[in-house]
Amino acid sequence: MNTPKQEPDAFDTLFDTYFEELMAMSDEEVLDGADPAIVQKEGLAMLENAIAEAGKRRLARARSQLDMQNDHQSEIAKPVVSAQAARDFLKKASNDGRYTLAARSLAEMSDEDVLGLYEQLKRLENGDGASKAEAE
Amino acid sequence: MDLAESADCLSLDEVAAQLRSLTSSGWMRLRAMARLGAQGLQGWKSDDLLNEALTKLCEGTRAWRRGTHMLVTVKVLMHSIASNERKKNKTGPIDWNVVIDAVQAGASHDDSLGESFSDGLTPEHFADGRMQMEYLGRLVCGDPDARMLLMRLLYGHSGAEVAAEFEWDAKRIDAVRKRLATRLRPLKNLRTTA
Repeated sequence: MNTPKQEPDAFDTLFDTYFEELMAMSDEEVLDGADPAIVQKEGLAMLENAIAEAGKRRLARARSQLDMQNDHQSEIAKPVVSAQAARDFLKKASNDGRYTLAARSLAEMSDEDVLGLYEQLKRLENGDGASKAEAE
Repeated sequence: MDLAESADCLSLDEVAAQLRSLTSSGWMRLRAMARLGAQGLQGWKSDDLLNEALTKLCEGTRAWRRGTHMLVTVKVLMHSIASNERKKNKTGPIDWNVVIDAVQAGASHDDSLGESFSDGLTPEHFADGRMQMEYLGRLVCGDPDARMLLMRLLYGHSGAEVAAEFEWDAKRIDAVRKRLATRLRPLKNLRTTA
């Protein structure tokens, strides 16, 4: 079956042809008695509004990109480790003088809590929260 | 990367500087094009269309290719924005363009209502086209030359072609163009006033 050919939209056609006619007219004809100073002033006011709006949109876009970047980085930084590996690490850490951990409580902790504690320790190791630890 | 940052496009500073240099007649031309382009855009005023085009250029989300005339750049952008908006109107959940026939609406529960005709045109398409032509026809009513020029422009002909066809001299075609521009000045959004 043949697909019927879509007629071009009359306004789309007119948009192009009418523009050519406006370009063919002299400046005086286009102004048609309007005060050029007022027309210019109104146009520039519109432009300044557009520039201000463009600035706001660029700022919003930059913020959104930064948020996305931060989300992405925190995803990358998240350790990919099994609950068992985290338990082993914490067990070792309980013998490390730098940390105060009760090894016996590890067995009673849920996998989720173990992983949370693992992340906290890793952050401490990487220096995050160091100032907090120092302050305490 | 913003489109405007590529080497063959104007930088944002250049865009702003160019637009600030626009003459009063340039502004008049753009506002006339914005009036025409806003036809059929639900909730858009003509200056909104021009404002959106300027904003996109200044924002850098639409590029201005070096060497392209300022008015052409803005006009193409307005056309593109308007076309996208019309598509949204057509595919959105509410069709602002439907003209309800009271008799048919009351009597019919025909499942085929809203389907395309075999030639690909919907009833809304016909209704819109008829309304648009009627409205434009009213604007040039009483001026056969301006009416002729408008009708030919709708079919893709230029003013120069019309002048050649009807043997109008330069003075006459200039006068007809000017009268047409004046007649089209009160263009309103057809579909919001229908």
